[in-house]
Amino acid sequence: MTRLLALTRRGLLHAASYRLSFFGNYLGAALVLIFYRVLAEFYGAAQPAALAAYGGDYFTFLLIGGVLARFFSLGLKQFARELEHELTAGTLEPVLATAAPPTLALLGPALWTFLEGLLIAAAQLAAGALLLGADFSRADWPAALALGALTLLALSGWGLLAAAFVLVFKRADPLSWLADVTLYMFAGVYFPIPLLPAVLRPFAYALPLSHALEGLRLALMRGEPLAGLGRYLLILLAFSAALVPLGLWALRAGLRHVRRTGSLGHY
Amino acid sequence: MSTAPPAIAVSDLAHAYPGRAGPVPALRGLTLAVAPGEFFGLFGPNGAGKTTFIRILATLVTPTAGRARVLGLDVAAQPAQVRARIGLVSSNENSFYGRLTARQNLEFFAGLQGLRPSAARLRAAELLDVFGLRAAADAPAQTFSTGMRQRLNVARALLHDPPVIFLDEPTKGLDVLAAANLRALLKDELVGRRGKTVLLTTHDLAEMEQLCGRVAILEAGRLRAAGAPADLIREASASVIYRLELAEPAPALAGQLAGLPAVAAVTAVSATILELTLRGAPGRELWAALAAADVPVQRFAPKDDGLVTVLKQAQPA
Repeated sequence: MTRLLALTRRGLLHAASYRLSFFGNYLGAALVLIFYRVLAEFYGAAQPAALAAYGGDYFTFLLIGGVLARFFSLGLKQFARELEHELTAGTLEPVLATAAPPTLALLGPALWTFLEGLLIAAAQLAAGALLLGADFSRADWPAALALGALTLLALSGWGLLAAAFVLVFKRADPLSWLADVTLYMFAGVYFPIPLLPAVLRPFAYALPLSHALEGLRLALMRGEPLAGLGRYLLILLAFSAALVPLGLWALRAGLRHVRRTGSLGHY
Repeated sequence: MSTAPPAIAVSDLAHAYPGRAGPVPALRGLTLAVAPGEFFGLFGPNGAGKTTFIRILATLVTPTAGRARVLGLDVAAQPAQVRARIGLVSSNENSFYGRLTARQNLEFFAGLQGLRPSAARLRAAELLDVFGLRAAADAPAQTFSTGMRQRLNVARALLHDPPVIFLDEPTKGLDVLAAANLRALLKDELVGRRGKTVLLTTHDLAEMEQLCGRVAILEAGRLRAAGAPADLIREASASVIYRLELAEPAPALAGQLAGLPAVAAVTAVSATILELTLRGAPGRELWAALAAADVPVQRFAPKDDGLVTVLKQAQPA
């Protein structure tokens, strides 16, 4: 617990030291809500039939997709991004020379960003509902939270693979690019997946985030209880069971590799 | 030397880095031991394997072969236990979060070492005081001079009060005064006041002679010599090269000196300069021969001083 606190505090202090970027982050989070509202207004009554499954409210659909995809994308990218920063700053070696467990030392620098991301997402959903008319009146929050936690776990498995990639190859770019494209193109962030061309739909459903967003929208917009979300839970559980152990294994193998080759401090 | 179990013990330790043309050996079968409370120096030219050795002991590099133990703990099999008992001062001065203050950096690393926030605050404040950084404690680490960063580096290594400290070229890049101050601090604080076992690598001979009770000389990953700096110098003097500078040429003198039992060889560098390889310290016979020479002797002294001789002798021809 002491180490988790130290890592979280360090992340906060470091982020807050870039004042403009720190506050810009919050301003951007507020502005994007207005963008979603304007976009929803623009489409107005011309909303496709595919939205009917969610009650036809495009703003709430967009808010859930945009806000949660941004948060879950942290699971995909943040471990690698923070690790890359530690490598270039020269702080990875002294951190790994401490008594902290190596896995925590490698992944811990992302803790603050996750916490901050969670707070921002919660604030965005609250502001969307209280100020901009998002409808969560039927939401089953416990079901959504359970599905959200499982989603973060599944995506973090991929994030661990990305971190292992950075540890060995020193750059996150290829995986980071892939994560962005897959997230926003195929996962149904801005539109329901059935609107994708038929040939692309299998790619969409190969992504855990597609199932996660579908399940979360059903829980938050239609009040689907956990019992009704079994299919999504099972899919996310399967992704987690495959990706998390694989990611942890890759990270440990990466650490063994850099210790053997003496490239821990290289970047 | 103490009879207590060694604080650091390595046997047949080897490491090779992967290279395009095959493995590149950095350490080749190193065996040595450091006693508890000892200030032990590793000395050698660039590429001798000193930093690799420290990185293995700090569990940052896995040895290819052999064993290394710190306080009886195997660095490969028990790395977590080893890390809890060591402090590492790396030669990389840019190893802090530059935008965080010195105090925030120390409190963060104290937390990683497992100190609770209140204990971390106290410990950081104490060490900032000890290392003369109190006035700059709340300035970002990136604004620190090299000397201040190195002192912060040593303070970081002491946060969890480890019994064993590794110092990898701690005075690298420091000006003469800052280096002298840091050396005094290292000697007084680490060994004098806190009784730590210290393993130091350096290129600075004066530093080695001033700080270390014993020294190991590495060359191309092999141990070439080990012992007290004074002993190594004395042993090196056993076959040291002396330079003899004459006021004017003396063609016959080289032959006369070569006949003396104490002289292994005589090389004429020029008409007035001879280099004598001696089998020991210059004896009475040699002084007498020089006194009896027809030409005045301008200078007669070892070609190199102290550990330079030892280091040169450690290197293969």
